[in-house]
Amino acid sequence: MRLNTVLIIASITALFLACLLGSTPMEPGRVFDALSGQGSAADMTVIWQIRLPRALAGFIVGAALGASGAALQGLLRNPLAEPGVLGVSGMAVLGASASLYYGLAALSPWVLPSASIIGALIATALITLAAMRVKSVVTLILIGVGLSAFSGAAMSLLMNFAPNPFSLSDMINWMLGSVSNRSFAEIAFAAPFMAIGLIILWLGRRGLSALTLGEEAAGSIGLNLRALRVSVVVGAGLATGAAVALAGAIGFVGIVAPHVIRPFVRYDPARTLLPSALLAGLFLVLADIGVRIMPTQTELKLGVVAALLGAPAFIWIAMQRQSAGQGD
Amino acid sequence: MELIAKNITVCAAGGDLVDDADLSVKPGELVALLGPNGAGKTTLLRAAAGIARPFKGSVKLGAADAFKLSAQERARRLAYLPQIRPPAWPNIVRDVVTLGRYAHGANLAKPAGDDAAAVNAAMSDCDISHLSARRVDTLSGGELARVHCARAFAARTPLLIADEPVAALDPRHQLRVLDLFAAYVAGDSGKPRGALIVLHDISLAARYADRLIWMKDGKVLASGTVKETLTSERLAQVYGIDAQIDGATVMIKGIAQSAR
Repeated sequence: MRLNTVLIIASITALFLACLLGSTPMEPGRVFDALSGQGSAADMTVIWQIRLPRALAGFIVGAALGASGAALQGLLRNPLAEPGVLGVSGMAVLGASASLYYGLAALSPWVLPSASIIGALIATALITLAAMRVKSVVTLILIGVGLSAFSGAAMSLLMNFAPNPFSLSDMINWMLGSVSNRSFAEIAFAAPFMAIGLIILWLGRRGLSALTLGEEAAGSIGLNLRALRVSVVVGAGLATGAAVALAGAIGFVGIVAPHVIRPFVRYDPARTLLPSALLAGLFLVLADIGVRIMPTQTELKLGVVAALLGAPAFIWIAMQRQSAGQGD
Repeated sequence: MELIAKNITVCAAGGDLVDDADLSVKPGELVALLGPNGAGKTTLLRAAAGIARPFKGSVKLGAADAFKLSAQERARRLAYLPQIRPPAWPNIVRDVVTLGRYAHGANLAKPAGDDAAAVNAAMSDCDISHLSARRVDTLSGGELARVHCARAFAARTPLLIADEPVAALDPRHQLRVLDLFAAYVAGDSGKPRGALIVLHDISLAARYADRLIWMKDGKVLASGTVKETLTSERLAQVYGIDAQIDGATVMIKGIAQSAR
């Protein structure tokens, strides 16, 4: 519990910090005033229209990816499982891009998140079906790699057929992953799916603990394995799909957060869920602050920074497994 | 509660893994399932434990059909210990034992009341209380086996099924773990329980089991007390070994002529 308290306080602090920093420097007093609705009109606009929604979007996207990563790792009993690695994010990006490309996204604000979620659900379902047949952890990761490659190829196809340079650059920008210029309205279209996904994952947490013993023994102590599989597939699919709809592809967050958290919660998959969500949210808020204050010509994309930090961490975790002799 | 499995048949692509097998376990009975590798022991065990529905046959746990019960209801009647494998994560010992209380709705992070009492008693019975906070990846094979036993005992079910619980243990630990099963079967406060275990060591089976079930090629060949069923002919027939029997003592002399 103490770990969660620390993470919640740190997250709130980071969100506040994100409101503080930016092209117009604002001291804490003005931010407080603006947040409580008593600031000047200009300050209110900056905080409520730009900085707060952006920071919040970063936080909930991180939380969704962190919890999905922790849940998938628990279900597959594999510390390398993660929405990005398993191709779930890629398939969500594919779904969302297809809806953008064919102009479906303009029909209703619900189309983009729905398309993204459908892509994510297809991927989680395929991975889980594969996990039921293959026992090898490595094979499963390879299937994820294949799924990622497929969604990448299909994305290239969409870009290949892009009607004009503008839509091409739109797609690429969106693919790179970012939470800049997000509004509360956009958050409102993704947040309900995320919330439902996270609640579903949360309700399955005891089952994830049971799976520590392996599938057969978990079944024998009273776990309904089929129900748990469905709930993780649906929960992670909804949360990841909605996160991708809001921010594009932001990889590797879901692998690093649970890895950091696990030693603090005695390696229990159930107790990994909440702190992983909080830590991943915190990480994205901080990374986004970094992106904003970094003096680069063009603003760095959050997804690029997350991958630059996360991919080496992924390799490191994979190598550790090898040396611990747990690879099978 | 009595376990009665009847006419269990399990098929695979290559043929029958288990062919029309019957078995039963009564309260107060420690039953050993014996047979060579590939005889279908584990397959029969999984069917009897209600985990894998067989192609044909029925399993009753008391009055209830094992395959009509929910996973939770079944887990409250019967604990199943598969062949010992290390847990997926390096959890601490106490948390793994607490998983035995899953079907009782225990708070897995902080068991309370009956759950805590059951976990503590099982850990002390299996002599692992001092390992409570140790990570399972730091345990020896014998310690890990006792942790899994404690997990199964903590469920306090009237029936227990275990697949080779003493494989890969040294002789002293084999005796210790089987003593635990014997104590489990004797039960507490006059409520005996039933256990079915797969053993590879015929001497240990003869020493601990109230009844032996002999299996070969997916069929149950015989079932009865040590006195009734442990004969040198049986060992030659089931295992293809030449052995001398003296009461419950088995002297293995070599591979039987017929099996060479």
